[in-house]
Amino acid sequence: MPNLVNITIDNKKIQAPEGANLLQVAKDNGITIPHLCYHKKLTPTGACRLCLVKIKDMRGMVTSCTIKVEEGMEVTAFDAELEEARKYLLDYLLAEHNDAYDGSYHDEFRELVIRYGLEKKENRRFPSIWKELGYPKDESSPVLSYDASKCIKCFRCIKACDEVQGKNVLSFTNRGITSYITGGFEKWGESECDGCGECIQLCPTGAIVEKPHRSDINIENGIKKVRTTCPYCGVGCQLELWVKDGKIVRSMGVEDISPNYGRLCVKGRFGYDYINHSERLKTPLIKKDGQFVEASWDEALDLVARKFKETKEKYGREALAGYASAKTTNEDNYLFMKLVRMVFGNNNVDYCTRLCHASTVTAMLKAVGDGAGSNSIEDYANSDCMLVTGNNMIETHPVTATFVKHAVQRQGAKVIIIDPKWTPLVKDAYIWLQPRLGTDVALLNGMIRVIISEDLVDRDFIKKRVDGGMKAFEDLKALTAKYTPEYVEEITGVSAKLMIEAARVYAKARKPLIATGMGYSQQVTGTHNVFCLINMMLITGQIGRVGAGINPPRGQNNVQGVSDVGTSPFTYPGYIPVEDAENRRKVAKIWGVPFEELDGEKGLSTVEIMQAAYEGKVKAMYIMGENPMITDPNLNHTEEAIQKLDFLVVQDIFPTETTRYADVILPAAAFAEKEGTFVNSDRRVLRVRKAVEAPGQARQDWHIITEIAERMGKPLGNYQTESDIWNEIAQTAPIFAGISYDRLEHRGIQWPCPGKDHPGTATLFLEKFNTPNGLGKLHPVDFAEQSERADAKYPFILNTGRILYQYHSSTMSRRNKSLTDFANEAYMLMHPDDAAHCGFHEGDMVKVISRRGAIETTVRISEEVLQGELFMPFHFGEAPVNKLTRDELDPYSKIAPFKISAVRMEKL
Amino acid sequence: MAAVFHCIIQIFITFPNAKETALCTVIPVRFCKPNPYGNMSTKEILDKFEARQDNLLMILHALQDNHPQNYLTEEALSDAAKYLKLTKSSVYGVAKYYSMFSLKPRGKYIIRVCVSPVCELMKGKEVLAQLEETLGIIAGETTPCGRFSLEIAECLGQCQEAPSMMINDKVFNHLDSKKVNEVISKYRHK
Amino acid sequence: MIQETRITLKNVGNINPESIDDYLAAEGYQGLKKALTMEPFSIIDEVMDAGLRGRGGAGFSTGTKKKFTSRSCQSCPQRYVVVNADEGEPGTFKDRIIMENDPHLYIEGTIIAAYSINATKGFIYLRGEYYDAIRMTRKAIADAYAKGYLGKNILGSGFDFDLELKLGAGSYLCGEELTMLESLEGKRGYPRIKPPFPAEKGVFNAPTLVNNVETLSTIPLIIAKGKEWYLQFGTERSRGTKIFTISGKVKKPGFYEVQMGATLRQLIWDLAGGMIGDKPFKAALMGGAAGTFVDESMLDERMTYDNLKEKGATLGSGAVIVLEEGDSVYDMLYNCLRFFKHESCGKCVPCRVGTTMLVKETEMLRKGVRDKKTLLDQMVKEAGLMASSSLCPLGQSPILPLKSAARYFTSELMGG
Repeated sequence: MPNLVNITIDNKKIQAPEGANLLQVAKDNGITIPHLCYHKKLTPTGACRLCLVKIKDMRGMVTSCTIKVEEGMEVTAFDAELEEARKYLLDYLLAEHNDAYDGSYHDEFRELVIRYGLEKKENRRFPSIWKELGYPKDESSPVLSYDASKCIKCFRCIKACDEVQGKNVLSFTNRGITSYITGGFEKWGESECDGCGECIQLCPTGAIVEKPHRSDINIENGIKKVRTTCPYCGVGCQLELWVKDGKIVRSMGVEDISPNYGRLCVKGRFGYDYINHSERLKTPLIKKDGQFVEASWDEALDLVARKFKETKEKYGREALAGYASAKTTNEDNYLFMKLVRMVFGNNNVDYCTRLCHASTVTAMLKAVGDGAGSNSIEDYANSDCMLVTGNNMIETHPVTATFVKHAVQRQGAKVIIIDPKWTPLVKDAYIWLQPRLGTDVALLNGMIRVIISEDLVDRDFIKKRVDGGMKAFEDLKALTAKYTPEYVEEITGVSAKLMIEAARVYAKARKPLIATGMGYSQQVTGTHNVFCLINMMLITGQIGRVGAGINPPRGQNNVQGVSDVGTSPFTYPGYIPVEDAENRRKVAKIWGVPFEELDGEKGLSTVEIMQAAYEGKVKAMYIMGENPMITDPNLNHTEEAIQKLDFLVVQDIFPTETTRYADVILPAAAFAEKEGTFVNSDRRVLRVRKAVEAPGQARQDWHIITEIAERMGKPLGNYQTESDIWNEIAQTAPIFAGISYDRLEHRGIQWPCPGKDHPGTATLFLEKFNTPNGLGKLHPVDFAEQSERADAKYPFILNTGRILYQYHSSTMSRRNKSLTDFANEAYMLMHPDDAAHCGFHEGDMVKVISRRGAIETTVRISEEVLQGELFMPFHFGEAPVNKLTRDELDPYSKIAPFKISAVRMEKL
Repeated sequence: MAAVFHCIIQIFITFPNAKETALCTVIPVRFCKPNPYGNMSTKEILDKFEARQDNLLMILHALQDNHPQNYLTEEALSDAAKYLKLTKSSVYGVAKYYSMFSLKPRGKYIIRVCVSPVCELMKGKEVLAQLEETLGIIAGETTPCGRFSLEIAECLGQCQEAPSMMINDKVFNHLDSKKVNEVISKYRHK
Repeated sequence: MIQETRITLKNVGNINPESIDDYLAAEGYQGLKKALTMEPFSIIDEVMDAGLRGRGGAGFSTGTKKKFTSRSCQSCPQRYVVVNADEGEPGTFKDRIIMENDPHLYIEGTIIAAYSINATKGFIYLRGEYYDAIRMTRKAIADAYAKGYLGKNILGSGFDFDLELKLGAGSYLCGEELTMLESLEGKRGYPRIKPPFPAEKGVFNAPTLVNNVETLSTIPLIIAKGKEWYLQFGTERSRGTKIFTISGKVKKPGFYEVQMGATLRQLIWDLAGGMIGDKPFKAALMGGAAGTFVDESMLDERMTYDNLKEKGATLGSGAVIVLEEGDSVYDMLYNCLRFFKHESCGKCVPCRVGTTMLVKETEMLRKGVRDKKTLLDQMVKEAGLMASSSLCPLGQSPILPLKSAARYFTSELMGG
């Protein structure tokens, strides 16, 4: 805690932390000194000069935004001279300013103009000259427009882009009175701007404004503002949705609140239009003679209940299965899981986590006892070393990446990237290791060997906190002994020198964080990859304190929560194994069902469910908000499996590639139409609030689920509101025991939160790991060659992943013009040397063929990939890359190897 | 030769309807001015500098000097940005701030006329007027054939011999109308 | 009759600036040799005791600046010396004269300054249009490296120092020390907020000593000959010599190094040969655009930092622009104000818009505005407000020529 000092402002006595910003101190104490260029998220600029004050024993007037408070400071914030100076300054600004105002934005400058009586032109001192200055307008960005005549040149947008988002896309052009803001070469749309809109959020006038829905907005009239949680990735950004006439017209970041502190990415700010899209499902549909026909809810629900019941009676309870959804709330998923366990009577419930972080979670559960990120998002900003493995953070978790950039830009943190493909974070990286696809175990074993041979291990930590202590360490040492830098270089292609430096930097760091992504998890060796990461972490003692640990940023808004509430074939709410009879007994009691009815054997996982369908073992399926016909591996196989089902119910907000195969389609409410909670990547339970009504007859997911259960003769319970459901979740999952909606009103709480007075847990494993004996466990693993390798027939290895502007199967993201204007096409990246060798040119159409299928796409030539490797985003239904991928699974976690498929190409 | 060819093409692109004036006696090969970097490729120039942002101004000077038309192309700015790992606007903003940099094609000879208080006191305005008349352009313009650009400059620090001007890196002092015409006529045939 | 006292300019015209041997023959690098045998702090003391004040214009104590820089941030791995060679004040060319005629002198001063604050890296920020000075400096740096005055283990002392030449690209404001640091880092020339001063956070956020060429050129002599020798020149509070650059309507315009305390009359008539055609003296603009107009009532004032300040005038960079009877103070003032508008970076409001408005208002003085007195008073008031509210010295400058012109030449400005 900094010292408190005593100061006075206009004779008012104030206590403030020593060194605090004087302008902010005044503001916090109710003294609003006029200002425009200052914003508490930014470093002081001193450009507008409005916050001038006088300080005893200092000469003349000084800007309060650049003064740090000291003991005994006597400040005059308002007197005639200061007020006259301020009026002069506003007059100056007005001279170069176009003060036309359309009411669609909050204009801080205009407020001051009114406050100082300068609204009327005749009260102004200087002639208006803005017209002769030739200020341009830049309308080239898909999402925003810039009008230099409304710009007061306060630097807030530049600093928003630079200091807050770490992008540095904006600059001034020209100088003096003719200067104005430029993106790129005065064409915003051709600059590096990715549309996050931080500049809009911090612009104090109407110079930078959103393009969508501007004409709909008058901020003083009929705008409802609803705070909720972003529906895209797992950062859990807090949004303020602006609603006009039942329609969302703007999205702003909520300032001052974790996890995003006002920051958003392009999807969070501009990706809301899908909610109001004309293609939303509005009525239940039943397939009759191959055609979907509108039906009443009663008709549809009766049919669903009857079919599920018949299937269970005819083929046994194992013939039913469900896919839950990481897009929907905890409350929805909890009841979905309850339906499967209690009504279907089995544990065949899973969701997309099996396709993303299952291996990470599996490895972490075995080694440290918890599958969730060990640290808070804020820790990234305070880290001195970040090991980013297979994680294209800037595109997949843009707001998390801002914290990383802060650490790099503000305190020189070193980022080590392990990724076979270039990612934008490489620009900020200290070291980029580019191993060949599928060689991560060798690389990490090599790093571990360096750490051991250079004695950078933390023996104390190993002795105290690792299961088996030094004995276990010796086993790891023995196994990794053969991974000499030369050997590792041979396998991975990574320079030994860089690998050694990376190992040293990680081992010596004070607060190193590991951020591991799909590149590590979506492999047959996914669990092994993460074992190696944890091995390295445990022998260096780089976990178990604030700022050190391992974090898998979750891809979807509620991947974390869906696991947490037990929507898994292996675990009940709070990660209690299905086999745990005592827990089942407890849950049976809460649910009011006989203990024996709860199946004590593990269920089938996502891909296993499809395989069982293929084999005819699963006959009927209930899919809520998932699109396996894009996201599952080996799609041709999935298609066959789905077609073999007797009965398929798909509940969604849009028609998807999967609804085509459904027998019944049930229209559901989207995130902005719901109350509930999500859990983000740093285990923070966050509220979701209803902003608009669901379209047509679309219903809340949980309403639909309870209706089906009821019609199957087993009501799930008597829930009036989402809060009732949450309270039951808190009863069944000890990690949530202390959390209630009341406590979530203002800010999220990080689990575990065992009691009503518990503040939540920012950092896991401070005292002990969550394993049965409280110790971390090493899992030495050897490198094994991938089973699918490039060969003469399939000479390239194809990698898949995501891009910033699209999301998952793009059901939502592609229904926003703002996002599709940025990127709306599938493509395949190919190294220039390969392209030259094969005679491919930029934009060529090619057929990409694997052992499992073929798709068509266009070639983009780029050094982002290694020679012999290719990359394709998986979002696009017209080029569904998962037709090429394999469903050969990681034996531990059942994850599929989306990252490695051998392919060949033919020019079309 | 390639560079020369490139240069001539550029001039025609820049001045598609340029009418030859008396000033342009030839469209010569030597339009491509000699420069310390000898018409290198952008990459060759960049490689001479460490990839640090503090080298940006030096790099822009070099790229501009290297261009036969004394200016910075968008392509050159993009390459510099990429080389220094900066965004486009960080480079563009710098190029637009400093008055020595131009983003428009300029002449082979850049005439900088000093308009400081001293030169004005010593009849510098007559020098500028004479130049404008002789060249047939006003300050800020380039002669149609691309030989001369006329620019005004802040104090060139030659005050003891005002009024002054520079042509590229050469200083000319004690100017009057007659001397201006003598100098220009030399450069016209250079 | 006063005479020049050539200390800093002693080699000008006497040696070949391209020959390091010439410089060495003229006792060059003797100051450095001696300095390397001294403790760094005693060099600072020597400079401080000699009373040297910065010759860039502000007149701050050079020794104090060094002391701050050498003491700040002991844990910082690197500190820097930056040579302010971005001479651009209208009417000023003293640094150019040194750089073109005796480049090793200021380089030697830079090395000594670096040694005294333990800086191992330095930059010369040289005005981009000064091609001859650039050529000479480039050659001198190369020769100094070749002879072991720069680089590793200078003269076997164990002291390492690298000096890099950086060019400006046309911005008056970059001569302001904090703005220069931004520009050195490859950015737009925007002034930084003070504090922190360069001594704490300068270039690349490291402690940095920024000194003007003339200032640094004085240091080798102070070290070689001792502070007592230097203290014999000048006045009690303004020690040493100052190079004045006289231009305008005098018979022998040029550069003159005189002891502090000379008068304007002595400068014009004793050294610069008097007025052209012996016409009457009307005014002088002292210190360049960011300077003050004086009339004949100031001719006998001693030109020291403090005396001129007391009289409402400035010494500044040492520029003296002389106007004869019939010359227009209005035109000079208008020129200065236009210059500020052109050079305003645009970062802070009062300077960005204020400089534009002053130009417009000056034009109005000639466009038949009825109440010119009110307008002129208004302009002075605005310039005063700019001075008290602007971020950097540029916005604080227009008041200087404006107020002084209004004081001595009111009726002329009002078109009378």
